[in-house]
Amino acid sequence: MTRVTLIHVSITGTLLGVVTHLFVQSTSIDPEAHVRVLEVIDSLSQAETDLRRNLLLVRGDLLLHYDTVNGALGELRERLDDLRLIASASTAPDSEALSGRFALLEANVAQDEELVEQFKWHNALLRNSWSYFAQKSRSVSRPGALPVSAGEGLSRTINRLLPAMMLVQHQPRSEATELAALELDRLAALDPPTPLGSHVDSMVKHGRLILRLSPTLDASLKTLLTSRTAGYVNDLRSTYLDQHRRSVNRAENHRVLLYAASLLLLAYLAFLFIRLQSGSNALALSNAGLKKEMSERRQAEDKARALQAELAHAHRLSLMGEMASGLAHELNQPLTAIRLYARGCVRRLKSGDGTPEEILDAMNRLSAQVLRAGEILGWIRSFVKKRQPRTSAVDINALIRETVELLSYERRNHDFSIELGLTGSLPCVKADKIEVQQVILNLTRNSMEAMDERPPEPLRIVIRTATGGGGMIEVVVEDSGRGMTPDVLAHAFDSFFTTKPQGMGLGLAISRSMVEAQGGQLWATSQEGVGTTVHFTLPVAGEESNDSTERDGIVVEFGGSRSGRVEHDDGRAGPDRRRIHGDSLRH
Amino acid sequence: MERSRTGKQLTLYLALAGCCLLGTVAAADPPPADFPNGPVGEPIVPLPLTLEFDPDRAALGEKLFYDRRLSRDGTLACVSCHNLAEGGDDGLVLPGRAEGRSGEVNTPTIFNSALSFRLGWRGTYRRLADQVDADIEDPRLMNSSWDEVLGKLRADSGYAAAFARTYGDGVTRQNVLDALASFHRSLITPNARFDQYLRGRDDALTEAEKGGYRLFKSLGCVSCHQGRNIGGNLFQKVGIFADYFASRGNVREIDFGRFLDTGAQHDLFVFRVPSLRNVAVTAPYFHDGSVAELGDAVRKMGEIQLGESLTDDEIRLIVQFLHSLTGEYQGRPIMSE
Repeated sequence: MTRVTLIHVSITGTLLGVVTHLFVQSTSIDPEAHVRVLEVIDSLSQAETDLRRNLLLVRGDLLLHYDTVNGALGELRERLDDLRLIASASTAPDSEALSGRFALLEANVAQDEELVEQFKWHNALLRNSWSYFAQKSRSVSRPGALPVSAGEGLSRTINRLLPAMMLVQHQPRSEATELAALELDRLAALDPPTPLGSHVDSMVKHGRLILRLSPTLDASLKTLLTSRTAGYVNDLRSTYLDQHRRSVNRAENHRVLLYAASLLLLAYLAFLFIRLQSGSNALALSNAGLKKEMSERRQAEDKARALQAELAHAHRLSLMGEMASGLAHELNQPLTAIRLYARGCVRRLKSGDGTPEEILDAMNRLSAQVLRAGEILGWIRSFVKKRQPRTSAVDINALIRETVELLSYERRNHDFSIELGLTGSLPCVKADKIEVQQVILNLTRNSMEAMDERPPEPLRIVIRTATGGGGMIEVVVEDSGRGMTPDVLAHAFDSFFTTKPQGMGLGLAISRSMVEAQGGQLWATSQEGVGTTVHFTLPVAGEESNDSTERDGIVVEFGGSRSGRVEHDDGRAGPDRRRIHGDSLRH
Repeated sequence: MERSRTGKQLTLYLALAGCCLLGTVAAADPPPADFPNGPVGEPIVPLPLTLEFDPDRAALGEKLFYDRRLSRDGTLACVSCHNLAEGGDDGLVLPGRAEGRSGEVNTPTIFNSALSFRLGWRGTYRRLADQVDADIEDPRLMNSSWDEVLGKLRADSGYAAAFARTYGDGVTRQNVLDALASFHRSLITPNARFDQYLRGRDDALTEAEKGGYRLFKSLGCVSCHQGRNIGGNLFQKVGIFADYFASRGNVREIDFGRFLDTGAQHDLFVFRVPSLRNVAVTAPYFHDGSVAELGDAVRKMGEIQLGESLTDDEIRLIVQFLHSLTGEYQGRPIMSE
């Protein structure tokens, strides 16, 4: 049952785990975050375009400062920072490709930035030099600026230089550069006098700088314009979109799986529910069966109990029959005494020599004997009465003493002594007193009968009480009779098994069943030629049944008569240990 | 039900109409419109009248700017070197000489540096945060650490409450930097007379100043000193036509410029072109603070950067023009030390 439950729990748990996993996996990327990433990538693209446009504007002297170039670069940097922040917050599983693209882009932007710095720096110099060159060349080519003394050479050189420089500005090819360099060298060689000289010096200085810087600047610009940044931005976008599409697909697949797993879980739970319901139906059915069985068993038990009571009653009648002669003798004693007292009284009344005190005394003795006879008859009546067993708290020691009194009537038939070894202050047992008395009577009578063929030694019967284990009181009836063979012992408790010619073979079997009906056990040990010992246990009466009124009842019924009789018979009262000798009782 | 919906619609229309009306009113008196790239054909762009910043954060940044707890021994605040009452710098050749600390470069003005593409003489720092990080731990400056600074600031219940209110997560390095950056953006000096001229007020400049501007352009100064900050937006080598350092002598490592950051040979003696905004009130000049007079600085620049010996007249005119670049902070013109 536990194993089955464990299997159900683990299956349900696994299904729940799968559903949870699928649910987590099926949550698609936050659409706002997706839009944000695309926006950032678009801004990157835009900033990159702005950068290139502004560089061209600057190079074409259409923009005279670098603020917008810096602005575009700054924008690129900031958007890259945004992307890095988004990437660091993202938990996407396959982000290696993306971070690879990002690293490429970032490195390229850093490269671009360095080139832009070079470009600005060179462009500033170039523009400065161009403005000087233009200004100085205007100064020297102004009509009349060149003194006649300067000669044809200077004028011609300047006239060749200016178109060459124009060519350099508009088509910075190597031929033009070479030509202009040549003319600049010639100009430098002419070494005109001041103040013209300083102008020419400036022209040469700035002209050479222009020739040196122009190719560098244009190379930087060309590199920047063909920079792979735009390509990397597009790569980043397409990689991101690929990854996003894959995530969306994966989420979609997981959603389908989630649906399937949820259905499975639902079906499984439904299955469990149906099972539970049918299980409870079966339980109700078997419950009804059990109830029926129990009532049948109860009826059978009732019947058996009634039978048992019948049997016990029959056994008591038989016991009574066996004890009849002894009882008759016992009754005869008070009757004889009564007869004697009555005759004595009559004689004294007739003769008239008896004092009224003497007659009164005799009458008192007479009525005591009447009471005694009545008690014996009362006990016989109660013992043979048909009755249902009724348990109550019973003082086992008192009950044993009581029973031993009854046994003393047997003294005519048997030569025996009964020794009592009663443990003091035992708790009451929970038992039916008549049945317990019946058991003790039966056991002691069995002992007496076991002696019949061994006259030389008087039979010795010992009855002991003690606390047994487990809340039980143990009673032991031990005799020094002839004992039983193991074979006989094995069948001693069988019904209708007897070794006695006149026995019914019911005594031990009934005794055992009566003890067991009261929650105790009865067993025997025997050694041939030595004697037999029978033990039985009875449960100690619990607090609830230790009712004082019921115990008072016992005292009224048995206790009073018993104590009176003991005093009367042998004058010795010993609660713990005393001997009742058949001989002594017999006088 | 129907009535209430109609009522709501009516309220909405009224609100919309109100908005339109307000819009019309606002449009009737627009702030002076700037071309994003400045007046067509001009290399210099007027400073924006304001930069966007969060006033609460800037207020916190201002407190921090004046707070000496940013330094280990409690003697230095940002304001110690960037005196906002006097040009946004310290007026010294090199900072901290008197205290025996002796910084290596002249303190640049903090004004308008939020508009520069990089910070520091050699443009080491892209962001203010990087510069502050460095200054906090610089043994010649704050000589402290973030742990120490944040510990001191957190112990101040006023800061703790203000940061919690403004940022939510209290005094952190990130938030301190953001507050300082917000305040930094408030440190601009718009409305210089030259900017007024660029915005169309022809009488904002004297004829001499206009002449100085023309010279500034024709001599080629404007090749590097252009844009909103009249510089501050590119790198340039110091000494194109003449060796500045040879003529000054005593070349030190700090003179290597951007080379110290990149290690590239072409970056030797390359510096960030400084802004000329408020140049008249931020003497002494150059990264070594070696020139006290603006005229001398102009002469030196002509010599080494343009390869020209400028005449005294030219220098006088240019200096006059440069004086027109002094702007206003909190509505008052920037003053010299």
